[in-house]
Amino acid sequence: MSIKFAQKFLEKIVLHKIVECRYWKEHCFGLDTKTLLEKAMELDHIGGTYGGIRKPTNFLCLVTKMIELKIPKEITVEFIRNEDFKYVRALGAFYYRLIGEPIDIYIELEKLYSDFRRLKKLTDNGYSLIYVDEFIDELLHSESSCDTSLPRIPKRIRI
Amino acid sequence: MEFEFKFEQKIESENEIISYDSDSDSDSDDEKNSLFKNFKPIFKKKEERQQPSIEEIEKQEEEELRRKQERENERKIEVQKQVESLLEAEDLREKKGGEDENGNYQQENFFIDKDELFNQEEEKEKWKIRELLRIKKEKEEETSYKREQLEIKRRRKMNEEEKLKEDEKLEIGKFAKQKEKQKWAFLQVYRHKGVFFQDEDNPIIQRDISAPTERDIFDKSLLPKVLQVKNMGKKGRSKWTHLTDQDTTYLKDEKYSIQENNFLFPKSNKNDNLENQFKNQIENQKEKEKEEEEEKEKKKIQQKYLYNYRRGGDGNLEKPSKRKN
Repeated sequence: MSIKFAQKFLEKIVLHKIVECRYWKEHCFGLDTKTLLEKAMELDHIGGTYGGIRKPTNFLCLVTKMIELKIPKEITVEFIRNEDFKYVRALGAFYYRLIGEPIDIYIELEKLYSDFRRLKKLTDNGYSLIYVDEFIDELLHSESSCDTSLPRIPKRIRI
Repeated sequence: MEFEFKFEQKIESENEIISYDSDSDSDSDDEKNSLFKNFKPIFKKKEERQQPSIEEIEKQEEEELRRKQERENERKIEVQKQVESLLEAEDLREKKGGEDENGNYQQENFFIDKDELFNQEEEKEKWKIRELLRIKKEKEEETSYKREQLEIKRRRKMNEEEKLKEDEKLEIGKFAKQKEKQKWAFLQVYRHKGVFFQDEDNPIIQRDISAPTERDIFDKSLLPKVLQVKNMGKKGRSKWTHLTDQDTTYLKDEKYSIQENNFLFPKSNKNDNLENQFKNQIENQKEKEKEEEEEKEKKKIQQKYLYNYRRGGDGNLEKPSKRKN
């Protein structure tokens, strides 16, 4: 249960900004898996950092909290499999991509290709639209997403 | 004779006044200069002198008033413009989005994520296109990967000679074509191409920079040798034309030339083939062997004489034994 563990997955500067931001201090203090789910249900956008001072989004704060709590895979799979809350699903997918093993990542995340709901993504130029399947495609194929460099996974053909 | 010193303002047109007024913000030095430009001293005799009438004074006052009003009007217009631009910026900020009291990011809903508002069938068709594109991309990756594996297998079965032959055909590896070097003019100036913005389609950026310019085109080898240097006649003038001019490795003069048997810069074998080199080496070895044999014979003869001399000219070729006392 330490913030140092999160440094394995997030960049140092981003992590520093997360720890200093208001949402982290006000809403993420002393969260539990249950209460974290409540916060995740309130989410209304995804994204990394935004604005001139590169403020971290609530989405990224919750991801760090999940890393800090070391939420097990079985629970994140439940995050991913729920169909009512798309932002909880995105949060779970992102966390699973950071922490899971390559084969499990492909098995779990490829199911979400069939989801064509809309997500709001917060970037430097304000909001933009992204579909869930596009987000999953970004997670599986690009090296970085939401201002964090994702851990390497081999290509799908080689597994 | 007494003269009165008097300044009289010299005004050519109304436009000048305005420009003079608008310059009032600039430095004091500029103001003095402009004063001297606009005033001109005129000397008058005592008889011609007369005090300005009341009407003239009134006229001057009126003019000053008019100028003041003009200045104020201009200022008002400027202020209005500034306010308008500020308001526009604020509007933009509202559209772009900002933070509310709780520190959450808020923006007018240009992008709506509520799926109930959209037609599900249209959304599904959009998704179908995306999905098909994804599948296509995946298949292409698969085929390219398989092709690569096959190529690697085929290549691993081949001999080295076969590999070389194939390389020669396809011009890969050793046989890859190198770019032909451009011939530069004698003493042409080198200009470095920048690094940034090279990807642009701008025709000016993609020009050949190493081409000779007007000053490089004419034949500089016709000049006297003193003038054949960089920056002739300037402070940064150098003594040297170029490096190869100073290079003494292949010079005929014994002082500077390197020895013939130098393995770094072999002089004699410079243009020969490998076979000739081997032949030369074999011949050299034979000559050396011959010389060694001759030397051995010479030594034998010398020793003969030595023994004979020691023995006192007996003619015996055996080695002298130790004395027996």
